[in-house]
Amino acid sequence: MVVQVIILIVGIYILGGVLFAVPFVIKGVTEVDEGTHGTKLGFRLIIIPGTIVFWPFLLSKWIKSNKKHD
Amino acid sequence: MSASYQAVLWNRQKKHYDWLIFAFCTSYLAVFTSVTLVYNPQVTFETLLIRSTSTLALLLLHVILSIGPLTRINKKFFPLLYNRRHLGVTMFCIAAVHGLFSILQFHTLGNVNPIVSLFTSNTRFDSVSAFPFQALGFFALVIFFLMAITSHDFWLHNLSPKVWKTLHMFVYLAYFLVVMHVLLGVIQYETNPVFVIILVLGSGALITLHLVAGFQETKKDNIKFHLQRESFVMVCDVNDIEEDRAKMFCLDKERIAVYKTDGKLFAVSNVCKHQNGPLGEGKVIDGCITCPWHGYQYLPHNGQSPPPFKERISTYDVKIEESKVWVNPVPYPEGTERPGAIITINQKEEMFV
Amino acid sequence: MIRPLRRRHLQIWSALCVLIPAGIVTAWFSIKRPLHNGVLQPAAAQALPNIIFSVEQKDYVVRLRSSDTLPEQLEWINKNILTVPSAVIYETVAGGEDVKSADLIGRIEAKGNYYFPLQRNSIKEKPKFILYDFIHEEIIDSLNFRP
Repeated sequence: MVVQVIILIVGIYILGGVLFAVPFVIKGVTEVDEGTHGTKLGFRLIIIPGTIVFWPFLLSKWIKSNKKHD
Repeated sequence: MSASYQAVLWNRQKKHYDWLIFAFCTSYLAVFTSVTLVYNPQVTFETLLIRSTSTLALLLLHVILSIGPLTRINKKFFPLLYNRRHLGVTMFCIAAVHGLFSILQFHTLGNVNPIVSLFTSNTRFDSVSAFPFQALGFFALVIFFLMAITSHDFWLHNLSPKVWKTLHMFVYLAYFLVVMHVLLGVIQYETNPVFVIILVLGSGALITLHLVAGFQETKKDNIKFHLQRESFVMVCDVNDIEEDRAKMFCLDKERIAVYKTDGKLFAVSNVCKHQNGPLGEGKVIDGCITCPWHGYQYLPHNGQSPPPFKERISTYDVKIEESKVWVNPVPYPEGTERPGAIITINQKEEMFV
Repeated sequence: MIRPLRRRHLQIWSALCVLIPAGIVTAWFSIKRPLHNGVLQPAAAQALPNIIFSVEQKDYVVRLRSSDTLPEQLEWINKNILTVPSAVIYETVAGGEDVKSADLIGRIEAKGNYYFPLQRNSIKEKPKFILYDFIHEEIIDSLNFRP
């Protein structure tokens, strides 16, 4: 039972990561790290697994960088 | 360096390195398969795959973990470290095949979710010989996964070097989990003592290497420098340092690298901005101090990476008096230009006396 | 590497220097004893001449064999690949249900013939062999031998 609940939570977390990864690798990544301007598709693809795992951290970074620009 | 990212940084050396890894892995799998088929022709494809990938991943893990201390014991091993990340990602992929097929083979026959089955089918945590060893392997694989997906420099910069390094230090926990996974798994059910022998030799070699390297480094860090004058500390003789190389001294909290190049001495922080590599163990290439780990470069007189790169390290005052080298351990802000100390002909000639 | 990290490495490996040998010793001594001299691979042993008892199931044939000089032998012939890939055989006496108190005889997997030397005098004790899935901790089959 406990195992099922943990797996469900992890599953939801990863689903959130997958949804977040799409806009992030297209747009967000260049706002978070200026070194990523003009990077090619290969680089964007290679950071997807990490984005899915660390998405809450990257989301907060993205929000912060947006506030800075405003 | 950090001007702009690429998916994979391949140059000639790294390509050689990667082809070597690929050739080694494929020949290992081929030899393992042939030998098994000779001695056990009835073996199933899944079993063969699970066993060959498990042993290969374990072997690679031992190689990976021995590279660090080997470079600290002897500089000749630095080329191995240069592309260690590719070796790490390769090891994860092989271990992942082992994990995936083990779950398929052992946990997909029932009507329970395979991952749930992995954790619930055996709950004898109080037993040694029947311990749920598969869970240990699973957690080790999760650590390797996290390391593999963050192996790009993008993650080093964005997670911060401190978090990144901490995450990657978990490899030692993963290693311990893998060792226990083997000890409580295959060793409990196989008759062949070769598994135990290999594991004892492998872990014994790793422990010895790490302890030898670790104690050597601690000894270097704890060397006391007694001669002090006006906040300068005497560290060595000017002739102790080779041309285009450095010597390192731990005067305060962290090591300082004193480089000799182009008739001058320069003192800079020993810590590379990329991954904290030991700059003092590198050499001057094309007029730049070059980190032995991944080739990050800094100009000796100001600690700045040549444009377009932006890394900067601290610089220090250094002077020479009667062929003795004196360093002031108080750092200047990162990237501050310092004149260095000019080596006069007299000081050079003393070498031949 | 920075100094605190060097120190941390040394601490970790000092700990592993104790933990890993302790793990190896504990694991080695908890291996069920008969397995130390058991035989797993089909090619490594040959059938003894006399069949004392035989049981035939859908997927496997199990025989108790003997000779004049050698200890008794368990012959396990897998006619098909077992649906359970993680199977071991335990020997216990008639009525014994628990594998904890049983002797671990060996491991079987693919199709083929397996031969395991038996330690106890099985004929007199009416042995019982348990086919056990050690990953899922389930008894797959119990074979009672009553010669």
